[in-house]
Amino acid sequence: MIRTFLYSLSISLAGLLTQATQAQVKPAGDTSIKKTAVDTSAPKPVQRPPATAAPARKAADTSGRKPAQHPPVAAVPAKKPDSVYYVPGGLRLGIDISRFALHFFQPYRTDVAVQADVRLNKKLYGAFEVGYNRTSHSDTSYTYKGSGAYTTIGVDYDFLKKKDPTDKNMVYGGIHYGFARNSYEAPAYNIHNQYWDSETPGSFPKTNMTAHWIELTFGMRVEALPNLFLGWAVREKIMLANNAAEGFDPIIIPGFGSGSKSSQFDMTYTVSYYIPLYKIKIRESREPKKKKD
Amino acid sequence: MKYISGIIAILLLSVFAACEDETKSCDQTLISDLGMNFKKDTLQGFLVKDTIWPKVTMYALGRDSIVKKQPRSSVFMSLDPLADSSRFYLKLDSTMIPDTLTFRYKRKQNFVSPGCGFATFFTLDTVITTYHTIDSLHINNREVNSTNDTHISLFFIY
Repeated sequence: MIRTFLYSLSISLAGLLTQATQAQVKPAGDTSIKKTAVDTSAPKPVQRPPATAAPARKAADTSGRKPAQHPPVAAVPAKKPDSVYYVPGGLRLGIDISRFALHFFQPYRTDVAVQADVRLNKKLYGAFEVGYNRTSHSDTSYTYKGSGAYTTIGVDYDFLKKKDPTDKNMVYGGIHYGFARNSYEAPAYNIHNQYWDSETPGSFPKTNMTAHWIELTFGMRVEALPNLFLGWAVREKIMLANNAAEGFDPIIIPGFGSGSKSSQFDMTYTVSYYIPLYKIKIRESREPKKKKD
Repeated sequence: MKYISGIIAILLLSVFAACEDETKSCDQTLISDLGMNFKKDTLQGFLVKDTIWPKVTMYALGRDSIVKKQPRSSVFMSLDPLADSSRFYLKLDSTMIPDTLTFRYKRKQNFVSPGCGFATFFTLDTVITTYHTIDSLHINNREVNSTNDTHISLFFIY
């Protein structure tokens, strides 16, 4: 328990430290943006809306010709063109290092997980994960072997309001669908009954199973170095269906966790590298948002 | 923001649970024993209450005692994992005539948990008893597995 606590604490501290580092780096950029905002507001009084020119022309036209009578036109401000800008898009590819730490706490399991995400639009990211698990356990009463692979696919929504549109940091929540295929067996087991002083030896043959689950994710990714990201996430996984053999649940379902539970909490810590590949065109209206009456 | 420390504490506790080595601990209550409780039947079934017998002795025929002259309102016994039936001797009080219970069942090996490993689960077919002290018997649950239920109720009129 103490090792687990220290491990969790170190992960949390590492996350906070990276955030703090980012916070120290960012202020210079922020102030420059504010400055430009002030500059653009300066020439406003010089510009006259086109509607104000109409009364002046009317006053100059003093000829006898009667102008066609038009109803008085209300001053319609010209519609501002949409703001168009580009945000970087690309593939962020990472490895979940918490899976290696997990082997320290649960020595019977070996996991490898690779995560990737691609930007779909300003706020939405497509998330993808593949992984492999091998479980091996042996004690006086049974031996167990299992191995399998899994994949998850879903979307992450970035909640972070960015002052700099090129900022790639994320605070996100997401929903993913997970699928795993696993094969497992118990080559030997022995049931000892103390009262009857009996031994029941046996084995459970190799069995294949599949599992489907949904996971809800919340986490953050911070650019610690140019294009290098550190990120943590917490995940709640909810099992939808699995076809494990009756009377013999697997110890571990790859990607999900404990084979006997219907929901599972998990935490990941990912180191990832961002590969810039494309730019996404963002079009935003510059009209002030209508206030609801 | 005032709840942030509470949220972090819950998250850390959840992480502890997620990282727990499941092969290290076995909850002993998961052992698949058959549970049997004693009920006193008065007013011909209209008033049934749990009852404690003062000197309960129980053992499988040819085996050691499970309980010996102890006050009990229920007993838990292990069925024979190598045979399809088990016979038990049950004496509830020193002045009472003992009864014999015979359980017939099907057996199946199940994986209980990573910590406990495998265990034999039973499905009760029939329960046969003598009626010296026992008035009647009711099977509450035929599945004898790791749920730690009370599978049989024995009724007494006195």
